Amino acid sequence: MAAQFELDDDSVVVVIGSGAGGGTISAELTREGINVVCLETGGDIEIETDAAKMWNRLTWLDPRVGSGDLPKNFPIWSAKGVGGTTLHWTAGVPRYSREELKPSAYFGGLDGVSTIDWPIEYDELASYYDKAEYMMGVCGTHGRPLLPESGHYKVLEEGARRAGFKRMVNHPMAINSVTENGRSECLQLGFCSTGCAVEAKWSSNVGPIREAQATDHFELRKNSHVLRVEHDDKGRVNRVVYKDANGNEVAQKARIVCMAANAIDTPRILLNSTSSRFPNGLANSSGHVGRHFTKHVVSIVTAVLPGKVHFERGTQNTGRIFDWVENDSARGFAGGFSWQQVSFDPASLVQLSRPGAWGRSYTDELKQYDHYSAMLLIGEDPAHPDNRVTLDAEVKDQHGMPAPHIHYVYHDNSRKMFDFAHARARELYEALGSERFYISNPPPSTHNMGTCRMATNGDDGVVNPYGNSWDVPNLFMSDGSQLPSSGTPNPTLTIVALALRQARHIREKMVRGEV
Amino acid sequence: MNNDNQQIPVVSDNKPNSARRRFVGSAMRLPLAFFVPVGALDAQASVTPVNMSPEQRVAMVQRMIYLLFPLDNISEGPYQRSVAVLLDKIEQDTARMTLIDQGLNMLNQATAGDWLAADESAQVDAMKSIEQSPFFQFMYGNAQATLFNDQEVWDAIDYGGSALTFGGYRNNLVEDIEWIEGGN
Repeated sequence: MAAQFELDDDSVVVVIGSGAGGGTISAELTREGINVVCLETGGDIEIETDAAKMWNRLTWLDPRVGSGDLPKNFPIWSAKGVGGTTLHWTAGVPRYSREELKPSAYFGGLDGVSTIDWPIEYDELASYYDKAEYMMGVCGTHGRPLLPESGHYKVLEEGARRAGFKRMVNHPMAINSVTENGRSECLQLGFCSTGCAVEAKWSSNVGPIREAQATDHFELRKNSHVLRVEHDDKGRVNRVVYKDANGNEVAQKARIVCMAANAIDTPRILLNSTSSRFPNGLANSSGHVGRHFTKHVVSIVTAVLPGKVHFERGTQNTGRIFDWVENDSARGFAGGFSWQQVSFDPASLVQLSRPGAWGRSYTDELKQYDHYSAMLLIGEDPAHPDNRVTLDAEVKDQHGMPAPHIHYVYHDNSRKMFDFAHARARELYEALGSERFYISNPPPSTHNMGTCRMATNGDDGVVNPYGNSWDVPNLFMSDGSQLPSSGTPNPTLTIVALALRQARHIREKMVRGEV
Repeated sequence: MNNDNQQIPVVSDNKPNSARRRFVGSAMRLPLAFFVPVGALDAQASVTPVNMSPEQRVAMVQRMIYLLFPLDNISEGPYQRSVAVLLDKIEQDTARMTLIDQGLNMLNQATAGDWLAADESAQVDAMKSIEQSPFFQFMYGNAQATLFNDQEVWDAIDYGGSALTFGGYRNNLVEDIEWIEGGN
């Protein structure tokens, strides 16, 4: 029932991106009979359970430039294809806590930070969290069982117990524990980050995009790379200019535009959309577009244990240790963190575990692949105005569009968090008898947030509490760019919850004739 | 913190099968492009060119990959396939061919002109002396991404590969962890 809309049809909502935010907003609007054109820069991705093949197939490999503490040539790890980075995510879905929505209470005193509180109360978000969990098939919620605990989980749980940690849990994930909505129950294939071949993992392409495609109101244009968004003489967006699948530059007229291109490319497109009214980029009268980039304080530790673990078996991130998730100034730093169970295929492990290592000693360790364990640190990241996305002055992508330049430097607070968290991980592994514990380089960022943040007023942020631009009444941010602070949760559940809330707001504005 | 040389997970050309076809069951076919004339070396290079046969070059590359990750419980197959992938990569890339020739020359220079004839300890010392070179980093990245994506290596380290082929791990999700019992 695929619809097809004309380029000069100015009644459509144009959604840029088909990931968590773009997919959700598309499904919600089309369900109400609202016509949507979704422009996705990638194509359909065939999922195989083969980590080596899937890396190149999923990963966004267009040029991006990193600086500061980010890798220069690969600062960001996101996916490119229908479904966006939900193809690649590992489906962890914690909620923000009440405390995490008010981070200025503990980050406010840090040097240079620009953290603000959320302009939304938890009680208002809660109903949308409920709906998102139901819609995404989150196990452990709405009467669904949790996923089974793997051997790796049980080993980590035992290590946590011996180390005196109290809150190692098998936590809810957006992975089917029972067959539901035409998607299989989890077969415990492992390596969820390479995509799920049986669709047990919720991804936008097998969830909301599929729902939208079942209506008569949705057109998905693949391989359509947005260059800029234009506006009329009243300052309302009215056209989205993109390179189509044939490389031709075309423009789609629009009644409303929803930006859902990830917190990297959403500000990139806005900054590339200059005009006499918006000389510093569309919707950027505040100067906040691209700033306050947060990505979580992320680290990977690996350890070789005295016995077998088989960490590759089963869901990648089932277990999480929440002992330090709340702020506690007595630790010597602000903000919280959690450790998350993780696993790697051999080629990833050899690159991540001990960067730069080689020779007989390291190879002898690698022979014990079945003895490895690994954990991923996800810590709360204070916003800083100089951690930001800009347009690179030199590098352009294959479409001639300036590449995004992502500058990020860890705050001293985050370095203290690293030290504390690594010490706790070491305790866990030593309690299990491991004498070989390694801290990897921080991996490229995947939890990108904050670059078009919501705020109570247009001086402090780019969008209002509904993700609606303070400058442009019919322009919305529908992705992680609107999140004003990182918290400790993986951001996808909150992106979906906010998109559900935003869709309702858009419908109401349309009914009132405001857009 | 400088992460410019940070490795990223699993960057693979995914060409072991085509490479395998070129090598298994026949003499190693050397791409013509692997013959780098001495004169093609970068004039700014600080190394003195040393004449090498194509066979010697390939032998050095394979030996270096082995010494990066010496797995003695496997055949030469994974190392040969790693070489094949590398040769595929450089076949049309003069700059990389030059890079490799320069690197091999550096290894020879560090071992009295014949790295292959040196004992393992001297070979490893020579490799350590050039660890920061672009040549070493290129060889290192290639070895990581190819050797550890090789089925024979997977078998040797007890990694089952794609779990979809056998229906996943639902029935043996917890196995071999009795060793955690009885701890304090």
